[in-house]
Amino acid sequence: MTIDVLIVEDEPSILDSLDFILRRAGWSTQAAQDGEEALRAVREIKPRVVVLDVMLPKKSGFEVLKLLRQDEQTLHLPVLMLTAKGQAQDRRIAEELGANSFVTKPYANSDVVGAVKALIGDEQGLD
Amino acid sequence: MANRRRSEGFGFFLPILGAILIMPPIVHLFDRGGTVFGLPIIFTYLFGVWLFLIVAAFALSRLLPRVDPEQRPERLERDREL
Amino acid sequence: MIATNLIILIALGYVVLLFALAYFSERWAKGEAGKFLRSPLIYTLAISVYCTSWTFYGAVGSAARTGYEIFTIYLGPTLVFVGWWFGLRKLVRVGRTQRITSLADLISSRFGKSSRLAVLVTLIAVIGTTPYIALQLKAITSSLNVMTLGDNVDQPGLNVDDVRLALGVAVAMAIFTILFGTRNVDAKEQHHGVVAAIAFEAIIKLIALLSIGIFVVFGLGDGFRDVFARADAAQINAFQYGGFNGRWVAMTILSAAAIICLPRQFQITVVENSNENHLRTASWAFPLYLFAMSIFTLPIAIVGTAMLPPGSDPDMFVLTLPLNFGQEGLALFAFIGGFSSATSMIIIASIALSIMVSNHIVVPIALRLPGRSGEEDGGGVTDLLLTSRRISICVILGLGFLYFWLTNGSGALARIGLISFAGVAQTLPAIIAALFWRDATAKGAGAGLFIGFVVWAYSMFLPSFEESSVWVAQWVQNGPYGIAFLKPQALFGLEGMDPLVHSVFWSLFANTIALILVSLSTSQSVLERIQSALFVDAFRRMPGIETRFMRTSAATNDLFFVAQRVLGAARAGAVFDSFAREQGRSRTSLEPTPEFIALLEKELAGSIGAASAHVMISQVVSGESISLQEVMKIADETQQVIEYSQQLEQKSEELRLTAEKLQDANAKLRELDQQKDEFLSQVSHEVRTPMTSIRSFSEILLEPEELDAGERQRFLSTIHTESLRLTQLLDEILDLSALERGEKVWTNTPVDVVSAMDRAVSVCESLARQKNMNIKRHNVPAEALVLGHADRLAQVFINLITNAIKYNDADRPFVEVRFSKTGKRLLIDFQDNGPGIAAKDRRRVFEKFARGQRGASSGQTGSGLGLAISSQIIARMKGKIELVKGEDEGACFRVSLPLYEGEA
Repeated sequence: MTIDVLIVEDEPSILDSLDFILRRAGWSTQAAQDGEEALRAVREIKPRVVVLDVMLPKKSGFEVLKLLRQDEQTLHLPVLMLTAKGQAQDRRIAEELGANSFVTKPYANSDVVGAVKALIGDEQGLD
Repeated sequence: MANRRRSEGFGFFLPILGAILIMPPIVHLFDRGGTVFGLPIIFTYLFGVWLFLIVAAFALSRLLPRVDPEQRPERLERDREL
Repeated sequence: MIATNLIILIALGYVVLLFALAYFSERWAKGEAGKFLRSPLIYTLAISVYCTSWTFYGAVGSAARTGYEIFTIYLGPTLVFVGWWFGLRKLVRVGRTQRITSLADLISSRFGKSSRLAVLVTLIAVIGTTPYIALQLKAITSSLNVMTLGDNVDQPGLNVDDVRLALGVAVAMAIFTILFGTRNVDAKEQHHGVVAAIAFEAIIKLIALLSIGIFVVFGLGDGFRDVFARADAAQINAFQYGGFNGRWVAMTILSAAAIICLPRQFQITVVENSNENHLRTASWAFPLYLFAMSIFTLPIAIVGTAMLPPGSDPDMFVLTLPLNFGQEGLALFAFIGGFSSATSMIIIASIALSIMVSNHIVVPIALRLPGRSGEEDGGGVTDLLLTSRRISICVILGLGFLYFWLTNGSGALARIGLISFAGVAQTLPAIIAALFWRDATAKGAGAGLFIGFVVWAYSMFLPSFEESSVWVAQWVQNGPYGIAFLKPQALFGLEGMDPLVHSVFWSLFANTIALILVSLSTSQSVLERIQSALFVDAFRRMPGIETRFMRTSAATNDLFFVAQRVLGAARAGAVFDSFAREQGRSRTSLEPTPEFIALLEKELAGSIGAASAHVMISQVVSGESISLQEVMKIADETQQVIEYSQQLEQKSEELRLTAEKLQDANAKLRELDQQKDEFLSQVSHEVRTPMTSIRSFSEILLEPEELDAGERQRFLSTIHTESLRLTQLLDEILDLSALERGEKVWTNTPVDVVSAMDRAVSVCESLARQKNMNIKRHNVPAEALVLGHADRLAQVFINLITNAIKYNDADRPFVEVRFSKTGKRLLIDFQDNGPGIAAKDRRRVFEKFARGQRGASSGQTGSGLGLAISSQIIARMKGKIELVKGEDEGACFRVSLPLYEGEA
C-alpha cells in the first residue's frame, strides 16, 4: 500500500495534530522527525505529498527540499512547506527551491487539509 | 617612521642620560675611596660612562635618518631651487 | 737641555711644513683629493682644534692641582656632540642655508640682520678670546723655556726673553694666518688649506700626547694600576676622589657652551662644514678623540708629582718628565705637539675673529662713510675686506700679546682658559633662543648679551688682572670704593662661593633673565619675524618665504654695481649670468625680481655678513621700492597660511578620529541589531511551536465531530502542557532580560551551598524517579559558605540537574554531583552519562536558545534559556559555569564559586 502523506516535523505535539487531521481527512500518513529520516522515507515509501517543516534537526527543511528537487525521481513530488508567519525570507527561499505550496504556523487545520487536497488533486490530474 | 621616532627618542635621551650620570648626585655614589681592577672607582666610573656615550653615539649615528645632501642648497645653482 | 736656536729652528721648520701642507691642500682641494679633504675624518680632526695647549699642558697641571675637575672640559663637549641631532644639526643646517659666516653673523642675522648685535657679539668674542690667545703664547714661551733651560723654579714673572719670544710667536702666527686665512673674501669659500693643516696638527698633538702617556705609564711606571698605587703611596689624594661640587657642574656647562660658542669652534663646526652628514661621524669620533687625549692625563700628573722635585710646574710635566729621564727626543716631540695645539688654536681663532671684525665693524663703518660708496673700481670692497681682515688678525694677536704682557703671564693655564670659556658662553642663551624660540627679539638678545657680558667682565675678566694691578686687587678685596656689596667675586653679598661658579651663575642668570623678560615685553620687527621663521623652522622648508618679501623697481645696473664691489667683477658677472640664463635673457636685460634680489643679498652675505649685505642692498633698493605695508602683509599672510594649515591638519586629524569612533559605534549598533533580530526570531519560533499545537488541537476539539474520550483527554492534556510551556518560556525570557539589564538586584549573603543543593535535589527527585534515575552526591562537605542568594543558587542547581535528567537517554541513566575545592574556590561538577554535547555546540551552550541536539526520544520541552540564565546568576556571585571534560562520556558542567571566609 502506498502512503499518501509524509509528515516531516520534529515537534511531537505538532506532529500529533497533523497526523490526526490528515488521517481524519482520509489519507494514510507516515512521520519523519528529522531531515535525514525524511529523505530515507521519501525513497522508501514514495509518498504522494510531503508536508515539510523548515526547522528540523540534522538537515533543515530547505536542504531536504533542495535534495528532493535535484533527484530525477522526486523532481515533481508535491511539497507543502510549513513556514513561520512573518518570515517572508523563508517563504522566498522555499519558493526558489521549488516548494509547491505553503502553510504558515500556527495554521488553521482546514488550511492544511485544503492545501494537501489541492496537491494530491494536482497529482491525480497528472496521472 | 616609527623607527625614526624611536632613534630620535634615543638621540634626545642620550645626552640627558649622560649629563645625569656625570652630575651630582649620581656621581657622588662613585666618589669614594677604593679600587676596581686596581684603578680608583671614580676614575673607572667616569671613563666608563664616557666610553659608553661614545659607543652609544656610534650606534645612534647609524640609526638616525640620513639627510639627502641634494636637498640642501650649497652653491648658487642650488639656491635657485629654493 | 737643548739649544734654543735648534728648537726655534725646529719650530720654524714645523711651521714651514704646515705652510706647505696648507698650500698644496688648497690646490688639491679642487681636484680628486678634494674629496678626502672634505671627508668626515678631516672635519672631525679639525674640530679637535678644541684641544689647545691648555689640553696639552694645562690639563695635567690642572689634574695635579685639583684632580678630576679638568675632565669636565671634555665631558661637556662630549654631551653636546652625542646629542648632535637636536642642537648642532640645526645650527649647521641654519649656517648652511643662511650662509652664515660667523657667530656674530648668526645672531645678527636671526635678529633682523641687526648690526648692533653683530658688533656686540664681535666685541664679546674678541675680548673673550684674548685671554685664550694669551694662554697659547704663554704655553709656547713656557715650553720653550723648559726645553732650553729646564724647569727653573726660582723664576718669578717674565723675563725680557719671554716677552720677546711671545711677540715673535705672535708675529709669526699673524703672518701664517694672513697668508692662508685671508686669501678669499667669501667666507663661505671654505679654507680647505687651513683646515687640512689643522687636521694634520690634530694628529700630531694626539700622537705626541699618547707617546708621553705611554712612556710615563709603561716606561716610568708599570701600567695604570702601578701608577695609581704610587698615588696612594705618595698620599696624593686628589686622584682618589672628591671635588664633584658646584664647580664641577659649572665647568661642565661652560665647556658644553664653549664647544658651540667659541669663535674657532663655530668656524670649524658650522662655517667650514661641507656636508651636514659629517656631523654624524663627528658625533662619536670627536668624543673619542677627547677620550684619547684625556686617558693619560691623571697618570702623568701622578707620576710627575711623585717623581719630579717638589715645586716643579705641573703645567709642564709633559715636557719635564721625559727631560728628567733623559728622553730628549721624546720631549722634543712633545714640544712639537704642544706647539701644534697652540698654533692651530691661534690660526683658527684669529681667522674667525678677523671675519667678524671686518664684516661687522670695519665694513659697516666704511659703507657709511661718504665718498666710499661712490668709488668707481669694482675691487673696492673686496680690497677693503681683505685689508681689514689682515689688520684685524694683527690687532687680535696684538691684544692676546697685550693680555699676556699685562697679566705677567701669571695664573695657571686652566684658569685663563676658563675665563675665556665663561666670556664666550654669554652668547649661548642668544644662540639657543635664535634656533628654538620664535618670539625672541633683537632687543631681548641684545639686553641679555650686554648684561651677561658686563657681569662676566666685572666678576671674572677684571679680577684676572689682580696680580698685575694694585688697583684691581683692591677692588677684588674690598669692593669698588670700599662697597663690599659690589665685590667682583662676591656680588650682592654672595660670599663664600667659588669665584668661577659665582661669576658663571650671575652672568648667565642675568643674561638669560634679561633675554626672556625683554623679549616678552618688546615686539619683533618685520624682518626679525621673517628671519625668526627661517631659523626656528629650519627643518620645515618654506619655499618662497624668504624671496617674496621684497618688491622692487631697482635697476639691474645698480645691483650689479654693488655686487661687483663686493664680489669682484668676475664673480658678480658669474652670478648675474647664471640668473639671466635662468630667466632666459641676457645679463643686461635681466629682470631684478625679488627672488634675484634675495639671492644676491645672500650671496653678498656670504662675503660680508647678513647685516652689511642687507644695508648695501637696501641702499640700492630703498625708497618707494620696499613698502613696509607690503612686507607686513606678505609676512602676515605667510604666518596665517602656516597657522591655517596647521589648524587644518589638526582639524582633519580630529575628523578622522571622530569618523573612526562613529564607525566603531555603528558596527557595534549593527551587531546589537543583528543580535536583537536573532533573539526575536528565536523567541518567535519558541512561542510559535506551542501556539501551533494549541491552536490545532483547540480547532479539533471545537469541531462537532465526535472524538472518543481517550483522544479528547490526550488532546486537552497536550494543550495544557503546551500552555505551561508557553508560560515558562515567557517567565524565563523576562527573568533573563532583567538579569542582563542588571535590574534584578539581590544582596549576596553567605549561604550554604550544601543546603541549596539539598533543596535542588529534592525538587528534582520526582522527575528522576520518572526516568528511573538516581541522583548521586559525592564528597559533600558538612557546610560550604559562599556569598550568594540561596533561592537563585538552588535555581541553577535545579536547572543543571534537570538538564542532566531530561536529555539523558542512556539505558541506566544517572546524575552525579561531586564537590571539590581548589584554593579558595568551591567546585561542583554535574556529571551525567547522557549523549554529551556535540563538539560544535560546546561553545554556544550558554547562549540564549542554544539548545543541544535533542535525543530522538526527547519529547522534552525546554526554552533553551536555562543555561543562559544560570550563567548570569553564577556570574553575579563572582563564580563561573563551564563545560568541562568529565570522567564519563556524558556532559559535565562545573560550577565554581569563591568560598566565603568570614568578614574580611
